[in-house]
Amino acid sequence: MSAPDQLTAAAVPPAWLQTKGLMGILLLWIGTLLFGLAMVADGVVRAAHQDRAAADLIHQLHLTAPAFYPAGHPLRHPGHQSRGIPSHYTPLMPLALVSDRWEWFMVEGVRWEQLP
Amino acid sequence: MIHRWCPPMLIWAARDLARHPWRHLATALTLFALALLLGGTQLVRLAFVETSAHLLAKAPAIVIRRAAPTGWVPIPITAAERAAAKVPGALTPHPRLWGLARIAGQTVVVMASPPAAEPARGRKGPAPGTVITGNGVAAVKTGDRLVFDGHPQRSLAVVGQLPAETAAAAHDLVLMHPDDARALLDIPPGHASDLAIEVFHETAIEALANDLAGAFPWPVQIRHRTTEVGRTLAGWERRATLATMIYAPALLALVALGLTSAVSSERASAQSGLLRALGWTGRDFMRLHLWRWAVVCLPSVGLGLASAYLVAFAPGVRWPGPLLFGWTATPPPFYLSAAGSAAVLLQAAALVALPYLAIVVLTGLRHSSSDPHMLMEEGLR
Repeated sequence: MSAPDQLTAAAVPPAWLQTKGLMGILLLWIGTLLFGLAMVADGVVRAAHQDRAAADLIHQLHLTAPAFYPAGHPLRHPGHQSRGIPSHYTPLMPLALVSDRWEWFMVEGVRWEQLP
Repeated sequence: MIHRWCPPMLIWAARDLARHPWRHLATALTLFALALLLGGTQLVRLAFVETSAHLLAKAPAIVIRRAAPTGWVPIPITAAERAAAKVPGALTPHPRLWGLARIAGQTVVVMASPPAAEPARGRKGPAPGTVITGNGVAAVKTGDRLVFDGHPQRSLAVVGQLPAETAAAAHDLVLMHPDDARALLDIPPGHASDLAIEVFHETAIEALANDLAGAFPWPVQIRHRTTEVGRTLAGWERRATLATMIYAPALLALVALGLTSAVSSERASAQSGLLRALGWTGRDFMRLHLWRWAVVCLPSVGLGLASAYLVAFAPGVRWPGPLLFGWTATPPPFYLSAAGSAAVLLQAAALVALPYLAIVVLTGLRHSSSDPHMLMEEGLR
């Protein structure tokens, strides 16, 4: 046994560390491991296929676009024009580009180019 | 009792961490938040990219609309099918009858059920006077009657709702008999909104689109699947890159904070000097710091990534609707594909855990390579 191992083995941990500290650490590790295994199992069994019902419906009805955006939104249907972004909105541009709720980040709202 | 099963160095590391519990708790929470944000961003991107790719792969290869100076006009079905049949390789033309309508102020997609469609898992298409709706048509349930804005005289009975799992395709869709759709959308008999065409091979789409453009006796607007897939995926890549760029400074701040704390910890220097004087070697210091890393970093990053996974792939997640896509009515419950998420999880784990591991290793090396006397003096100064 190395010197530090002798030292650490000789030092009896206080009661709180025995009951709560080490137990907490072990529980955290076990919890993380269980969550990891659950993610793997979920991905294999369910989550990798959970869009199948929507894909089948798209095929049956010959739909051309997913319904991620609400009906009538320019990005819902194929062939929309690109969005016009006024250049003076640049300070908050990254946030606005991440979300399509432009009005949350911009003062003057949205300017969409019209559908053809 | 439990301490008998644990390696002595783990107990030492736990006692060491317990000397500054709040500081290490704050570090753990920071790592958790970083893993959640970075992993969540990448997983959401992956989920929508994969789901879009799966859904669009089932969409028609080519869609042809009759163009007019004012936009588009209904396409005569027989003439359109005859024109498409002239182009070798254009397979199974399907006339589609669809359009937008409003119900109590909410815009919905109205679609005529194709003759042989089984839209709701074995159910037949709706009979005349009846509709099947998606779950997003507000305040409508089976047994109600639908009245469209601008058509108060036409009332259609709701005979069913599409399953929630199909929301990514048909959340605000109203499926009805072709006669009802024609009357509602003002499309004359024998006409359709557009013509969907399949191809034998994906690579033929662009070439066929050029041939089809010249085969019709009217000007047509042609959209094809490859363009739509490319546009969708590029959009998601752009969003995810920008979001990751927002989080990158947070990662750099964590590294800088960790390095500063490791370099300037005088008390740690004094303690390390004392331990080195007692016979601890560089290997022992490295083991101590690796145990500390395992106690603080592994659960934080693991639980952060598990939370990110839940945020993206929990069945029926609704938060992306109002936050990312601008839904104001009932947002769709998304059932997104998790295919390929293992690589993204590993990448996010590496992005958060490895910089912290580097800090830990640097600290261990510093303590093990310095002179014990100098370390103690530095700590007592």
